[in-house]
Amino acid sequence: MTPASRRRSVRREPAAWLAAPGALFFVIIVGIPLVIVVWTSVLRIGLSNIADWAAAPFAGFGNYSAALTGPNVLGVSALASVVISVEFALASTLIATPIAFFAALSVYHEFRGRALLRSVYLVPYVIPGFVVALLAQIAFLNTYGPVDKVLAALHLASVNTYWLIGGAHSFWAMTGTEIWEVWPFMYLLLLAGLQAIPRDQLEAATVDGAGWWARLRHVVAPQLKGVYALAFGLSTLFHFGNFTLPFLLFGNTPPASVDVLPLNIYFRAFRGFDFGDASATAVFNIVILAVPAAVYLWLTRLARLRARGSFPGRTA
Amino acid sequence: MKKKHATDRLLPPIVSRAGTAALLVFIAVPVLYLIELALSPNTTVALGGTGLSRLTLSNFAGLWSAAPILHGLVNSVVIAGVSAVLAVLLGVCAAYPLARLRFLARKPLLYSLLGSQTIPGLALLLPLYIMLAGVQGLLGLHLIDSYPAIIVVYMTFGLPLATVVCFVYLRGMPTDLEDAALVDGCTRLGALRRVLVPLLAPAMVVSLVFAFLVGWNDVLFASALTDSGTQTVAITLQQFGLAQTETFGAQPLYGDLMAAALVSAIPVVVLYLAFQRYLVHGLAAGALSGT
Repeated sequence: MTPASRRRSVRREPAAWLAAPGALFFVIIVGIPLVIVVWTSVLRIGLSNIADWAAAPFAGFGNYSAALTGPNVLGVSALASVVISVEFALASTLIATPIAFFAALSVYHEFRGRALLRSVYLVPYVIPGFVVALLAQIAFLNTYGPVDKVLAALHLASVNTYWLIGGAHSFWAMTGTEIWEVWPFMYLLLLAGLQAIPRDQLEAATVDGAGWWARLRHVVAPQLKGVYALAFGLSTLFHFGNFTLPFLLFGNTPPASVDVLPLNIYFRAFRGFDFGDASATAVFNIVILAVPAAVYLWLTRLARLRARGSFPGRTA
Repeated sequence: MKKKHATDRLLPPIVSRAGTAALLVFIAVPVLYLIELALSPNTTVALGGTGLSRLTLSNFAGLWSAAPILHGLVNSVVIAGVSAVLAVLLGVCAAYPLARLRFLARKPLLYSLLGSQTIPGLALLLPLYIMLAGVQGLLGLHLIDSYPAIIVVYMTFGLPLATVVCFVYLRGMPTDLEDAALVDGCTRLGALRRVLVPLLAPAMVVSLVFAFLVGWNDVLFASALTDSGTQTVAITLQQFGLAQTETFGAQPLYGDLMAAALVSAIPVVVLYLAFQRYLVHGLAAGALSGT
């Protein structure tokens, strides 16, 4: 195929230019803003000079020091927000892991209703995030919400736990909702990984007398490691970037304990109207994600090499 | 037969059954709660009652008279729909040379498509807003809060996945048919339009669904780039929800809110479940594909 396509590409045809419109929009909407944000991160831009920001006064690295250590309108510095974001992302990924593993393993073997069960497992993930967040807001209402009511009935917590107004309670209300919503993503990747394991290996292990645990440990686990690493990285990255949930769950003024990095930037820009500080925080956000992103691209190549032959194809 | 059954089991039956039951309860309770709220009178919801005895469809009736929600739904359909169609058109056009030709910008293009997925949304929204504000100031145009701006933004965000899905599909397709068309004197453009587009239809439908959901599910960009006239249903519901928590003393209209939320969730859930085979494929393509 390669020599053939090389030969054909010699024909002078405008086909390569077909990619130009898409590339152009990509440059305008993604490329140029990425350059602008670095530029505006060293300018002093407020509401008054936003329309004429190119002429804004130079601030040097003042925005960076103000953003990293100074509070936004919610009283949280960018560094403190990074800590919250990392805790939120890691807790969500780690707690979702056993659920996702169990779900993938439980729909691997053939049985009646398996297709239906696989669909049902996807439901939390496919409900729009804004719907889940608004539902959670009502579920966590103080006194009248079902969470407080059930926990109080079981004598596990006070009926006045106040989930949504701050402290560790708010953090865990947000994390719990996130886990409920996003675990199927990890399940999907793990199931795809499971299905890529050659069946004859499992059969051979069974013939050799391996029980389910031995098959799991010696056949499945070693081959699922790479996929899990990928799923771990991607889910952590997604949790880290989630804006919808913290933005919607807590009403107009989210408490400081849930001020994750995306929220921190949003409130600096669109509530505090300090676009310079917000840009500095955004650049900081890009930089601290660059390392995981590089690892992700590297893993992508790795997984692709391993999965070559199984894609494209039906994976479900 | 029994042996085969033993081979593909990875969990002991009792663990599998008990765990599945627990997981189903975990999934079902919030979903049923959402449906119950949507069917309950506002008074019942506000007092946290379980209104199973007095379910009503009146919230849905009220929905259509509540102008902002209907307006938000229409905006979502228009904005997400137009941006999705455009994303798929540009995506097919981009996927074709990426899959079939070798040219200088090919690898950089593919890598930036994949790499763009890891850029934090706010690191784009913020400079985009600043850029649009600057262009507005410079040219006296109305961009922020306008339909074209938000449509172009969603179109561009739908583009990587649309391109990758079509790209993967094209790579898996033999070149015989196009070759035949080229031999018969078709240009490459002609071959794409007459031969490949009909064959690509499944990939295009999948891309269309994914691209549609970009706009339908987004809150971040719509919250800064739309106003009361152009806002999508996600923002309408957010503001409706805010109004309920801020009106002290007045009865919160949570029943109405959840009815509207259910209405905006159902098409998405149906779309996803109808295309779930491809959802898995698309996710795998997005996560695993490359050059």
